[in-house]
Amino acid sequence: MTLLSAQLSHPILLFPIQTIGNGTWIAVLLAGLLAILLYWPAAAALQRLGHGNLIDLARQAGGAPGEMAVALILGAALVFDAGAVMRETAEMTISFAYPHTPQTFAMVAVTMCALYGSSGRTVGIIRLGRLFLPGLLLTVLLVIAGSVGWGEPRFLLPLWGTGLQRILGDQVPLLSLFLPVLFPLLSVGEARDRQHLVRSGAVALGAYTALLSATTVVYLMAFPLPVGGSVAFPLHFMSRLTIGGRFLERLDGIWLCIWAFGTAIYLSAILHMAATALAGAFAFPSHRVAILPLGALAATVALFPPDMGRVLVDHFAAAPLFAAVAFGLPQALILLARLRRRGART
Amino acid sequence: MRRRRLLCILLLPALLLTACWDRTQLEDRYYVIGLGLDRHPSGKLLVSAQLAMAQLLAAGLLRGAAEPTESAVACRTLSTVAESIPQAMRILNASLTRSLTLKHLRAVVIGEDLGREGVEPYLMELWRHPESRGTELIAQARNDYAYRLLQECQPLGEINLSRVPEGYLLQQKRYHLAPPVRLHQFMIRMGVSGADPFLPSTALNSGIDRDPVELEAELESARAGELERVGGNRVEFLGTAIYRKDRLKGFLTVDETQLLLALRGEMGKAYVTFPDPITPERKVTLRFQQENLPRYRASFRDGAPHVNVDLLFEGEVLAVPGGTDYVPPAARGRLEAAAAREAERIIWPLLDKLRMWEADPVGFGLLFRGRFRDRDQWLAYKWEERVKELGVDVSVKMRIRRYGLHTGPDRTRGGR
Amino acid sequence: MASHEQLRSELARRLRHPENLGIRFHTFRVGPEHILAVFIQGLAHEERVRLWVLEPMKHLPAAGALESGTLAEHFAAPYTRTVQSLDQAIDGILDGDTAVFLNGAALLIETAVRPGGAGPAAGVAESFGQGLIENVAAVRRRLRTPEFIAAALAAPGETGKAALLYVEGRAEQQLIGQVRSWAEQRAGEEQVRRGLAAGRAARIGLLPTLASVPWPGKTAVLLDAGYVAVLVDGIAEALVAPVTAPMLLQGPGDEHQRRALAGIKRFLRVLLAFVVILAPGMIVAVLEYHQEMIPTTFLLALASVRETATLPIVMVMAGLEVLQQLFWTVPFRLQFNISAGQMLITFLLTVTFLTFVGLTGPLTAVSAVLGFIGTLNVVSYDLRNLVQAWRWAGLAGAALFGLFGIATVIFLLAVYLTQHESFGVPFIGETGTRFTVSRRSSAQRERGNAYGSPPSSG
Repeated sequence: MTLLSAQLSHPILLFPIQTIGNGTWIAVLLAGLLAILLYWPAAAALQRLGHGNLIDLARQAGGAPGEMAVALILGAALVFDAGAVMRETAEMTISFAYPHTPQTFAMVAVTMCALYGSSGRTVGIIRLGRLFLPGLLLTVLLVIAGSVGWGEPRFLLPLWGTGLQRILGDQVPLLSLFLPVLFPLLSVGEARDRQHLVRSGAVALGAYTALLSATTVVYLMAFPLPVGGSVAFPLHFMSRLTIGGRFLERLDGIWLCIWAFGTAIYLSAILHMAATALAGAFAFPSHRVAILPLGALAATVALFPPDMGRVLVDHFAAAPLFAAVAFGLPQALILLARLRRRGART
Repeated sequence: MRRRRLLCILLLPALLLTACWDRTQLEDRYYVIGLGLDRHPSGKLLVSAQLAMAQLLAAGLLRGAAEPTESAVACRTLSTVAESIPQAMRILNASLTRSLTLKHLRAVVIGEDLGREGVEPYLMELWRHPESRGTELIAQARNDYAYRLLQECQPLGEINLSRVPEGYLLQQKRYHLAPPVRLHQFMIRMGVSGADPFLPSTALNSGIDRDPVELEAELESARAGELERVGGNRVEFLGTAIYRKDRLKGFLTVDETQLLLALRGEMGKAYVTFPDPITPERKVTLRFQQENLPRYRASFRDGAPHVNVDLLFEGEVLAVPGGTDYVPPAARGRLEAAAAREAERIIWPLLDKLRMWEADPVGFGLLFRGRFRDRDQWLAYKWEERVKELGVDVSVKMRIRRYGLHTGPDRTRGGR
Repeated sequence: MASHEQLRSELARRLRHPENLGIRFHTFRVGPEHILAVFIQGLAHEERVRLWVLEPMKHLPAAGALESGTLAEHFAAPYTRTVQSLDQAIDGILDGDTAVFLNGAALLIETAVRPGGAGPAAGVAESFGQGLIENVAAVRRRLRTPEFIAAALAAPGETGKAALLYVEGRAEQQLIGQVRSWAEQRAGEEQVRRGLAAGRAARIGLLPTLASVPWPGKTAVLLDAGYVAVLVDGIAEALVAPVTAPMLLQGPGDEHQRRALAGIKRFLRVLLAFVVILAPGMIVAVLEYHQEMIPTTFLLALASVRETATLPIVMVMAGLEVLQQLFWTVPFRLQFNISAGQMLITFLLTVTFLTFVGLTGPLTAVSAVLGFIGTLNVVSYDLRNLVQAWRWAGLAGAALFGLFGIATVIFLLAVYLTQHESFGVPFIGETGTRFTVSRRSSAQRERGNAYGSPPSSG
């Protein structure tokens, strides 16, 4: 839930709002339902497996080559996502709060946090997420509450935005918003009990969908189109409007830092997942071996795009890939594993 | 392990020697509290920045100045001509020993010339600026340049410049003489399809130095700069400036402003004085309160958009110099009808004006958005061109609820 | 009751003798019979035991002459009572009485030590003394259960200098074994044997291996929750393991509060710790990087005061931090016997003087004083050290990169704390974020959750 919610401060809604318009919140709700439906069988399969994680499932499906291939795909997708998020966070920090600071300095700080956070055990990241979640949710809810008064519900009309066809057509890219769903699927191997894997994942996906939808609604009320389609960081813009009387305004600096903290947890988890997947597949002595190289790769990816616009375009262009990795890959592995078992029996 | 520690020890000074690019001390800045935007005769932008002079303020027991050296608001206004606001800031910085910052910008005033030409490019610059948040109050100067209003603004009893916009905001919220509008609200309504923005209007009153006996007796509803008064701040906030998208179209009086707010459901309380229906040579004063939001019914009549609006006010009788007892139902009914007529007397010309200006500050267009299948269909309808065909019927109902502290007529002698 | 041998072995089993420190068995022969006296050193008054129990026991007539029911007449103690069962006798022993057994009869003689009047601070805030037996007794007085074990820790060439405390059935065997072997290894080290170190921090880190707890009340509560403690002769504190966040946040007297109130108090302590860590950094970050966050009217007032300022804010804050550290360390170095209140007032006066001469501003002065008060109120010595160290980190982060720098510093600290484990128990575990106590029905688990997370090795 923490990893999902940390994405709220990222520019995840920019392109959906540009293409779907006022119907984005409906599209998000549908995407959430779809995510739960696709997550369920993967989590149930792992629960039935009794031990191991998605990489072990890959081994069942395709043997050692399959395991390595899946680890490489996961690693590549996660490193790309980490790089894009690192760059976006650095750009956001510089744009909103520190205009004279070089971008590389912000990148160094973010990368340092991500490397340190990802080098520990999975259970440490889980504890960190649990510790941070109430604060993160509180700040998001406060910002939403503070922005409601700026908007008019009629700005949401027409409800379907650019049309139902567009809402249904953009479901695949929207599934990329649920990429952190890989975390429970990869970390379940270290869990003491797996029996809540399905339920806890579904609850987190459902809660996040509701939160994202609510954020989108309030955002579109306060920043209706066409303005709303040109704002890269919706939650930050909403936070700049939050006023609590004469003495509580312009507190966006605090929100920025709390959400940067959430992003650091997100990056730690992403790099950790990538390192764990590769360590499992290639029999590294420990996942820590892979942290520094993956971090360097992510930083390289982050610095590749020449400008902020390109970062956003590239990140969104990769959305179908993320959706395929997060939801398509586990389904494919389940099917292959089943076929292999059937083949072995015959 | 030792190598790792050595690496950290070597890297740490590198980190400490860098950073702090954005670090600035409080005393190294000038805080721009007010910003004025005008059209210079050359065609460029005339930007005026009103700076707070913190060093002239007392600060409790520990003072920066031994005695407050200003009996007026502690500020200075600087102006320059430039192509854009950031360029203007750079030019102004050249003569200053501290850097200007818009982090505490509280108010933006737009000159009339610039308003009529179109403000979008300049306000977009401000909205995009990382130091601006869109929560600044924004106002329209009437019959004047914004820089003059900034220079002349000396509210009674104020020394701290930051109190000035806050004080005006408080007054606007309390008395609804002018609508409080922030930059974000203005920009949103400017861009959205189905509504137009508006601003509080402000102007210099050139008649405040007269003798009180020279004040006009016959009062009509005033616009900014027209109030019959003597003394106080030359700058007054009164009435509304109506925009059609990003261009200024005209100004409303204070009564029209209050009914515009009523049509939007934002009127709150207003004090209205009108002829007593039973003793016409005298005037009654009522406090109008808009307890319920207006009820709208949007429809198409012969292809043209039409809206029916039901306004409901609650009234409190504050002054009845004619001595009539308005408590009995029959008399009360007459008073209620007279109050409703008084409101309608202002609303119809208001709606005519808005139609003439092809502006929709109420946001009637938003009522029609939901009737279209999707955004493309709505945009194809081109509301901005249809607004002049909009028909509006307003019905006003008044319910007298209270009579002040006395329930009888205003007399000290005689019985009921 | 059973024969003397059976009785003695049953008592030894129930009281975990001789493993349990301080349990004393005295047997005298009375004709063909044996008379047994059992008491707990430290709980029972030494002199009273000697005068009212042991001396009379030496001069008892032959057993045949003693009839049951007349045993009490032979002891000069003012208060005695006959007990019918072994359970009653054991309860009495744990209360500090001396139990005497003869011929199937059992007598409890009141010999309990009444803790001396130490003024209003006695009770929940009572501190440990210097002696090992006295300290064990102080804990045992608050934890009157036979499962409470105070086992002597053996070090090569040394005996009786340290004890390992735990409650059987509450503390995990694995934890007990790990702490025992760690403590015995440390006890064998040169510096510890020569009394130069209490042996807490075995490695460089933000948190010690064992936490220092100066109050027997809190120690008893933690032992009841499954923690393990080490008492060293001559050291007026218990060293408790594992070190967990709930344990560090537990204050003296929390065990006597209602659960909801104890939970709220614990939550407030967390907030206080955050405020103490973040205050100087936040001041620097807001005043130097994020001036938009200050209300405009307040900002202009601050700016007007800063007109006459001579030093940048970060230097002022750093200077005030150094001053605070001096106030914490100089009295101890120079052996001034100064109370916390006196320290605070002196600090306040010093900061006021500095403000008056213009070296600090009112805001920075207030922040320093509040930080000082906050640090005073941090309940745990170890937490206080952690907080004081991280104030500097927060200040450095703020000076480098404003609020983002503070967020980076806090993130690094949070990662460390969530990854840290003490003897296999996480510092911030499953119940680490819980600020109210659990409502589970089992008394044992409930008690464990009421006072901190029961340590588990998972």
